[in-house]
Amino acid sequence: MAGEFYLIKSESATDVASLDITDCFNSTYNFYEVIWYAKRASGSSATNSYMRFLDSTGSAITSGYNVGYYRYDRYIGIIYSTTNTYINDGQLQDTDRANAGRMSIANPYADDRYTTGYSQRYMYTDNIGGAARGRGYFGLNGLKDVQRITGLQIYGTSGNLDIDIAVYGFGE
Amino acid sequence: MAPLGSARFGFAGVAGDDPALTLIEHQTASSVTSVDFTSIEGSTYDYHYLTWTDIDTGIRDSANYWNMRVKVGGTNQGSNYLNNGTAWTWGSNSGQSYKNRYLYNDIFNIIALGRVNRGYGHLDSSIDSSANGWAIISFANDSNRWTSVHTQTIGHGYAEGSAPYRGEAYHASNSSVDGFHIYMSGYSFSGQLALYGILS
Repeated sequence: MAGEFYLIKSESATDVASLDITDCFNSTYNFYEVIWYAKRASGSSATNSYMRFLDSTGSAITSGYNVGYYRYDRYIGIIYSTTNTYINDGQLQDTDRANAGRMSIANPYADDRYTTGYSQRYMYTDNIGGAARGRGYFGLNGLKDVQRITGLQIYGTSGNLDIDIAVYGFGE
Repeated sequence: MAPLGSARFGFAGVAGDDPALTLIEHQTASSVTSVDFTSIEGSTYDYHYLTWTDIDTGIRDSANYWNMRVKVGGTNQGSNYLNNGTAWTWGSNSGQSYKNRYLYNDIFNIIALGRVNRGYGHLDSSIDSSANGWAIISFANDSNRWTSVHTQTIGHGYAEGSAPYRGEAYHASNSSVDGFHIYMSGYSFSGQLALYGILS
């Protein structure tokens, strides 16, 4: 039996402060897969990248995120917050550094239940135990409030990014 | 769009969306030391989905690691990898009350796709089991981005029970990757592997 895994939308941009992928969640699907790659742009001094949900008007939601991640590098850490202002953050810190990840996400478009995402992402960071090392995150993203999510935003701090993002839906 | 002649999942689009998964190649491994994917259609696909099922060495007495290397110009690359991951296993075969947590970092010569310390197989030695998992590989062929790998594997260890592994990796080079080399450390293995292109 053929499976059902559909490309809904993809966006790419180079040397930008942020990129929105709008109207990628809809009433057709309940479960989605997101793949992204946020790289420090050439000549940029960007130090971090972040992701946010877009609300029903297409505006970025800037508060009320619940996150819980395992962080793995040379050590193990646990990140937990009910007041985050972003999700899926990552450190960049040098040329060619990127926050590359994937996330499965349930019920973003439904306005009567919580949105829940499970992500894993990877980056290469400086000065972990005195050396540059890989750092991976695995964990959960959600919103404290029940509301409709229609898209995603990736943005950087302290410089521009090259951003690629694609959103897929699982047919039911 | 997916190449003509390829197997495609989701023939009837939903709401006009394009079926996104195209089977590039399926391979059946039978007591081999490695499996190579040499035609990955990297100029067509930024993202690949690699799956492995029923991977079994038939040996339950030593360490097994399920690994990958990328190919550049058809040659397996032995360096420039960044690799972080973790696996949990039971601490003993009988008690199963203590869990070991294994942390993988600073591995520079491979991409780890999975781990079972004492071989894939059911706790009951008369019952065979296997390792199963997947990886999403991003921008393999891109000469402006490092290739990234997100992987998850579940397998049974004869001595340690199930060993879920989650891992992340980069091939920290802008070289264009044109193939994938999959192997088990030190053992031959059997099983099924499939490589898909993900439309983007």
